[in-house]
Amino acid sequence: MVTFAVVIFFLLVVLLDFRAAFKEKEKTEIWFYAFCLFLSFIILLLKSLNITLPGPTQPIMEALRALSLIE
Amino acid sequence: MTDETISSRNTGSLVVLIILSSTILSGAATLGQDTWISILLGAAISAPLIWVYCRIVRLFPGMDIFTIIQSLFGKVISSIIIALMSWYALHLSALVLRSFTEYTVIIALQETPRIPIMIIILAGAIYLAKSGFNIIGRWSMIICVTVLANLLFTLLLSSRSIDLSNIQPVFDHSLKQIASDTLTVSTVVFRESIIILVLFGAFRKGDSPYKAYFSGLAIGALALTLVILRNLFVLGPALMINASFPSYMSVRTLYLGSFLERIESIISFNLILLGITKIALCLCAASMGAAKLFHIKDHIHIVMPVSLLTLALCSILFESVTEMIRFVEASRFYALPFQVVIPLVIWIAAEIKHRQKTAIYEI
Repeated sequence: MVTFAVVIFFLLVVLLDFRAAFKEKEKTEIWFYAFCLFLSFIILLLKSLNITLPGPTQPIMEALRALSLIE
Repeated sequence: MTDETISSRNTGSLVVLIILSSTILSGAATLGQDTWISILLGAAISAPLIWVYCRIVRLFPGMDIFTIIQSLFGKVISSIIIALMSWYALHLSALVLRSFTEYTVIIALQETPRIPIMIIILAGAIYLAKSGFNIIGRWSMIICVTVLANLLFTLLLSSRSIDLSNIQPVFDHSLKQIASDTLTVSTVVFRESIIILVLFGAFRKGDSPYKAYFSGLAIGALALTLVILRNLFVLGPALMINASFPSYMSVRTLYLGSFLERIESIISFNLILLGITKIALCLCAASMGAAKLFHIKDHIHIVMPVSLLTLALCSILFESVTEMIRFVEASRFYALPFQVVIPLVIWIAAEIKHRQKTAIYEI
């Protein structure tokens, strides 16, 4: 169900926003958009399939622990 | 950029909204009956830094923080600072989105998966962020009045349920505990308003940034103290610390017979509006930073892709609510470079450049 919602959401983004951007916008904007779209789709798809992905919180917490700033 | 302008009153409203949106955070105020002290002290110790934020934009009128950074430093250093600040804005937007998603899940939609809730909340924020600064400013003014009116309404209604003895014993905690909590409150409540510096490119000419920031800080700190005191008087210190969302819980206890039921929905209404505003502002900041880095003319064009990154980041940010609460305490160290070190470096560089300019004009 969640995977379905993610796929539908990204399909809507591509159809309603990205397609229009492809026609109007500059090359850099399109590449940036395509990169963000691809990256976020992969992350959300894996997450919706209950695959655990490493987030930024653990490395930040470990770095602060290594500096003895937090317990 | 655009011809849009944002007045000092609207900017002040945004500061109030950013301060009040932190009422959702569990783990920021852990002192029970002494929490109001840490709120007021947090506002006091944040004031010098807020003065620094105002001074930076005062020295470069009509420029946003990223343009100021580019005009002060070389290409490499400015790119590094902009990348760091953009990361902070992106991370903050994901953090806020996650907090409000957890709130929705815990309070109302226990069985609903998180990702669809994130998408729905984010959709409102994307629409607001894409509408431009002028609309964000007007929206913030309306929402600020609504939220403050709701706060007063719940305060009046709770007058029958309050127990003033809950505030005693005052200063029950050690100075070290109060100082530690003050630092956390200052970080997650007041200094997050640094994100508003991205709006100053559209700030109305002649208006004072000091007036905007400090009026927002004063009203926000006062309103937040009232919220904390309401929760304390209604729930008591022990329940206030242990409750996941004390504001919601304290208003839930109010009873007005069958005339007006489920008043606690006002709190949910307030928090969702506050969340959408803060996420929209963070999205604007992250998009502006990315636009500067990749030489994109208008940041509005990349609000959507940046929002998608926020959504992805939000979904992998925390494994559990406990981890989220633990991160609130750690954020006082994590946010230090973004809220204190970088603004201080920018301020010093700005003062040096300003003096050099003045000296040239005098010659």
